Amino acid sequence: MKRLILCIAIIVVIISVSVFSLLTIKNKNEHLIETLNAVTEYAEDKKTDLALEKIDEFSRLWKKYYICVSFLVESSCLEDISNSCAKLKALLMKDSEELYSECEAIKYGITLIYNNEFPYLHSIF
Amino acid sequence: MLIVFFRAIILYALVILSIRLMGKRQIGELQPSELVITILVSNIATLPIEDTTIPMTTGIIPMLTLVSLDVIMSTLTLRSRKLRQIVSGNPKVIISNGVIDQKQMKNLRFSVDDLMESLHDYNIFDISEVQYAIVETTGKISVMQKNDYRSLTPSDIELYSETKNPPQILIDDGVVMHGAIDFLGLDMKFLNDTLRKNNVEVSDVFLMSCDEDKNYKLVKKEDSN
Repeated sequence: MKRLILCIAIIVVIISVSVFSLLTIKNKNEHLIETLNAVTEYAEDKKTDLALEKIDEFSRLWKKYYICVSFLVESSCLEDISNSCAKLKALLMKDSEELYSECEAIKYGITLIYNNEFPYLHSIF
Repeated sequence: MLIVFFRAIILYALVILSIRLMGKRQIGELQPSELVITILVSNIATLPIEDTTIPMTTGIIPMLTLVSLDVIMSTLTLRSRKLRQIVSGNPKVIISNGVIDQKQMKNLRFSVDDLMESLHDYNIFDISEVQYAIVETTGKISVMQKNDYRSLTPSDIELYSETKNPPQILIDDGVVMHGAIDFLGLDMKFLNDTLRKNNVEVSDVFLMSCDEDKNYKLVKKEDSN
């Protein structure tokens, strides 16, 4: 009986942790995407200082998020985003159009993390 | 390198925990569902060890889920005969009254060689000696010999004796086994008196076994002689 209770507890913990991690990813994704949107807006308006601040904020958030999400997602997916993240400042300083495409790539990568974790029917099968 | 090392340690502990969680039945003969779980667990455990880009959780979660489901399932099958039949199947009789059920053997995809091999395990080399044989849900064949070929037992010659539990180990390499003392209905006084009589300390004893009639066997440690 003890074994059964332990196993039921394990299943409950796994489900709870999975749901909690999914919600955490969703919330943090929204925050990261908002910050990136702010970066692109400031860059379009040529407000470089504000855009730089937002890039720094995004980098800080991403570092924290990376540690948290690396428990759930393959690190190769996260490294692609980290690489794009490292380019942002330089692209902003060069006033390159590539900044927007890198931001879009990061947004897509972040969205993909959540989508890959969410148990859609097509993901399960 | 160190990541792989630590991952291997964690997963080793987890696999042992999983097998323990599945219970002693797992170590012996495997039911179909247990065989599946064992194969899956061993495969899942290797993935995060080999590939460090895969998070440990992708190994830990399916492993614990599978083992937990197996324990829950085995509890449910204990309560429901129907579910037990679905999960584990039914035992099938392949020899009854000395007659082989060829249709059943075909259904089970059992060859004559398989049958003979199993009979050899019971020291039976002539199929005419078999009264009844059944294929258990684990795939093992259990055999009952005809009375004429069975070994003689004390009850056959009406030789009745009291059945007793086997001797228990009271001291194992200098350590007293309190569980065994309780099992035999003895106490520490008996143990201490016996040791005193033999002029030894507990730490000098390599092995001491005893039965319910207080017949004991004491082996001293070689260096204490």
